[in-house]
Amino acid sequence: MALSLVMVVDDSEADQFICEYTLKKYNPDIEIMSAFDGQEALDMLEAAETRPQVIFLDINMPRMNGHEFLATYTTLYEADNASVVVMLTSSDQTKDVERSMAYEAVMDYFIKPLSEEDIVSLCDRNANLCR
Amino acid sequence: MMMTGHRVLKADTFVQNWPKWLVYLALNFLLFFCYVLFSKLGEYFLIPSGAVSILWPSAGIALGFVYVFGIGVVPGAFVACLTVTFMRDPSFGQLDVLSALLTAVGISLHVVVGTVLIRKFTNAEFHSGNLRDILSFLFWGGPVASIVSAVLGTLSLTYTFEFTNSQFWEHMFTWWVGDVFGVVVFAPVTAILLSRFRMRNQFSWSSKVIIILPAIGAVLVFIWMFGNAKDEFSKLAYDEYFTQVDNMVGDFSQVLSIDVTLVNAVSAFIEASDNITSDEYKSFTRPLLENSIGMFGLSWLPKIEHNQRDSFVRLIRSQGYPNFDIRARNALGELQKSEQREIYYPLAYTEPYVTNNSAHGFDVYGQDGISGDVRRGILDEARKLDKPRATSRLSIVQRPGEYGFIVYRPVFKPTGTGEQVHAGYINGIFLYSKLIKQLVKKAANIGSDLILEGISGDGEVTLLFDSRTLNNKEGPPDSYDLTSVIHTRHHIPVAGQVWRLTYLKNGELLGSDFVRSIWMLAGGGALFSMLLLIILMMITARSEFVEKLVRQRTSELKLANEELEEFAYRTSHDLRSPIVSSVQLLSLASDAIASNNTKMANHSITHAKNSLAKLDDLISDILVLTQIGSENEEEVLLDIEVTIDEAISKLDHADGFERLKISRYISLEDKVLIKPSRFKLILENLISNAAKYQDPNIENPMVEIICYKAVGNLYLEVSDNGLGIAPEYQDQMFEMFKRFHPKVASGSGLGLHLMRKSAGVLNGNISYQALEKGSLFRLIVPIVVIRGREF
Repeated sequence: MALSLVMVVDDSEADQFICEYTLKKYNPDIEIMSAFDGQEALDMLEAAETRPQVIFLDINMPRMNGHEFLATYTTLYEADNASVVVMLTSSDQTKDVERSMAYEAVMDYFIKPLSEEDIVSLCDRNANLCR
Repeated sequence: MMMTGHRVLKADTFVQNWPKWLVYLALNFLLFFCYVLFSKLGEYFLIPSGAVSILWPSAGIALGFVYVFGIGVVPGAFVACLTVTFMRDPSFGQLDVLSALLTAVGISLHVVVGTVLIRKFTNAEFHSGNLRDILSFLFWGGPVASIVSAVLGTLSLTYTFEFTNSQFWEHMFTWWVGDVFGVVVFAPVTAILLSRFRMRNQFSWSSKVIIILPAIGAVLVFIWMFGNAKDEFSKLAYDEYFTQVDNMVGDFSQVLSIDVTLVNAVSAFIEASDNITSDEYKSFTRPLLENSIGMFGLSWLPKIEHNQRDSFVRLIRSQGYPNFDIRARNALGELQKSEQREIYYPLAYTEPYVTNNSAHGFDVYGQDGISGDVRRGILDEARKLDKPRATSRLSIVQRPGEYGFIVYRPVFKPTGTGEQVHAGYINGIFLYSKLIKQLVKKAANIGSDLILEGISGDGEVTLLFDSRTLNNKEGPPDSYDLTSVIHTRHHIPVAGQVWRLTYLKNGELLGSDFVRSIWMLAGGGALFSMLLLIILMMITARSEFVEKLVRQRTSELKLANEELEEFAYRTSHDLRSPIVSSVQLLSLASDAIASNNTKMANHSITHAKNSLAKLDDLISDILVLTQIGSENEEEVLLDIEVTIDEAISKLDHADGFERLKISRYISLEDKVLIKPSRFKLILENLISNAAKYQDPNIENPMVEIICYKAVGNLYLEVSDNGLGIAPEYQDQMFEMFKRFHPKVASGSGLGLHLMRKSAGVLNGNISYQALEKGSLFRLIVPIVVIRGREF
C-alpha cells in the first residue's frame, strides 16, 4: 500500500481527472504530480525533491510527446532506478508498444482508461514498488 | 552583363577549389586548343575555289564555349583566331596584321552577339529539349550571328586582296554559309559536352552519351563522306579532263598524220608524172592544201645538177615567173642568187604561190650558216630512209618572225633500167601557229593552255609554241615550272621528230557543277547532323522529363502516403481517445449519482462534455482537410476588405475576443480573383489563432491584419503580440497534429496544417516569422493577370 507518489503525464484534462479518481480510489492518500506534456514533466522532475514511484505516460501530447519524453528521460535518469514508467495511452498500435517497451525504464503498457485492476496488477507484479 | 553572373558559379562548381581567374585561364586555354585543332579540320573542308574554310568548325566550337561560359572565354577565341590566321600566312606584314585583327574581332563579335541573341530569345538552355529553344539556338547563333563574322572577315581580306564587287559579295556569302555550317554542326555538340559544367537543366551522363555519341558519329561520318566525295569528285574531274585532253591529242595526231600523208601524196604524184608543169602542180595541190590543217605551203624541189641549172631556170621562167632564179641566203639571211654548187634543191613549184613566192627558187640544200646544216641533215636522212622527215623548229623564210617546221619527202623516179633515182623532195611547210590554232581554241574551251615542245634525240627541249605568250614564243623561265599546276603531257611522233604537248589547266579543275555538288553535300551533311542532334535532344530531354516526372510523382506519392499513415494513426488515436474517456467519465458520473455525489457527477459530465466537444472540432477539421485535396473550387472576384470584416464579425463572439484589439490596414483597389473558401479558411484560422493564443499576462493583446498587393502577389499579413511559437518547434509548426500550447487552448493540431494546404491550393505560400513579441503569419498568393488587367 506504499504507492504514495505518482506522476501523470497527459494533455487531456479528462484523462487526468479519470487517473486522479482511479488512483485516489486505490489509495486516497496518494499524491499526484500532473504534467500536461513531456516537457512539463521533465521540468517538474527536475524541480521535484522526491521522485515519483511511477510515471504514467501518455504518448500523443503536444510539444513533447511520450516517445520524445522517454528519449530525454532515459539519458537524464537512466542510472537511478527511482521511478518506473508505465505507458497509459489509447494507442494499441504495435509500433507504439514496441517502441515504448524497448526502454528498460518502461515497466508496463496500459490502454486507457486506467482502472483500479491495472494498478493492482502493477503492484502484484512489482511487489517492491508498492511495498 | 547578363551572361556572366550565374555562369561564373557554374564554372566554379567544376573545379571548386580553383580561384576564379585560374578557372577562366584554363577555360580560355581549352578553347584556344580546341579552336586551333578544329581549324585543321577546317582545312579539310576546303571547297574550291579556295574558299576560306579554316575558321568554320572553330566558329561553332567558340560559340558553344561562350554560350556555356559567357564572355569570359572570348579572349581565348580571339587569340586562337589570330594564331590560326598567322599560321596560315606567317608574313607579318602591316596589312596582314590588320587583316588578322579584323578577322579575329569578327569571330569574337559573332560568338558574343550569337550568345546574347540566343539568351534573349530562349527561355531555358537549348538542350532541355524544347524544339523552339533548340531552333532559336541554331537560328540566332547560326544564320543571324554569322553575318557579323562574314562581313568583318571579308572586309579584312580587302586589306590583302583586291576584290571585284561581285567577288566581294560572293566571298562574303561563302564565308557566311561556312560559318552557318560550322555553328549548326559543331556548336550544339560543344555546348552539350560542356554542359556538365552547368548546374541548371543538366543531362544525366547516360543521356549525354545517348546524344553525344551518335552526334559525334554523325559528324565523323559526315566528315568522312565529305572527304571521300571530294576526292571522288576530284578524281572524276581529273578523269574527265584527261579524257578530254586525250581525245584532243588523238585528233591532233590524226591531223598531223593527214598532213604527212598529203606530203606523201604529192610525192607519189611527182613520181608518177613526167615533166609536170606549174599549172598541173597547182591544180593537183590546191585541193590538198584546202583540206589540210596547218599546212602553209607545199613545194616541189627537184634535184638540179649544176649543168642543168640554166635550162631549169629557163624552164621555170617560161611558165610565167620571169624573175625566177636559184637563190640562197647570204650571211645576213637575205635571199640572193645562189652561188655555184654541184647540186641544187630549189623550190621549183610552190603553192599557194601568193604566200610562198618569197621563197621561190630558194635552194634548201644550200649552206647558209643559218639553218642550212639542219636542213641538209634532215634532207639526207629523209633521202636515205625514203621517208618523210620533219625538221626541228625553223624560222620560216616566207613568214619572218614566225616559227614553223618543214616535212621533207624524198621523191624517187625509176630509170629505164628499173633503178630508183632520187629526183628531189616535196616539202610541206607548216607554221606552228596555224597548225595548232584549232587545238588552242579547243583547249581554251576546257580552260587550258597549251605548250608544244620538240624533243631532240638527246633529250634537248625546244619550245615550239606557247599559247600563254602573246607571240607564242618562249615565256619567262619560271613559267615552265609546272609542279603546282594541273597539267598533262603527251608525246607525239611527227615524221621522225618527237613533240611534247602539254595541257595546262587554268585555275581549278573542279567545274562549277562539282563545286555546287560539294556545297550540296556539305549542306546536306550539316542539315543531317543538325536534325539528328535535334531529334536526339528532344527524345532524350523528353525521356529525362518523363523520368523526372515519375521520380517527382513517386516522391509526392510517398510523402502523401506517409502523411496518410500518420493521419490514420493520429485520427485512430485522437478520435478514439475522447470517446474512451467520455465512456469512462460517464460511468464515473453514474456511479457518483448512485452514491449521491453530485459534485463528482457534475465534474465527470463536464469533462465528458469537453472531450466530446473537442472531438466535434476535430471531426469538422478532418472533414475540411479531406475536402482540401479536391481543388475544383471556382475562383471568384472577392472583395478582400469585406471578407476580412466578415471574418472578424463572425469570430467576434468566440472566446478570447473580448480583450483583443483588432486593427486592419487594407490597400486594395480592385477585387481579387481567388478561391474564396480557401482564402476565408486561412483568414479565419489566423484571426482565431491570434485570439486563442494571446498572452493572458499582457494588458493590450492585439492583432493587426494587413493586406496589400505587390509585384503580382497578394499579401495577407496577420501579426499579434501573443504567445508565439518557440524556435525549436518552428520547423514542424505546419505539420499535422502539432500543438504547442497544450494548456492555453484546445486545438485539434490541424489548423496550421490546414492553412498551409489551403495556401498550396491557392498556388501560394504561408510563412511564419517570430516577432520580438508575438507572431507574424504572411500569406503570399499570386494574382492572375487577365488581358492586361490585374485581378
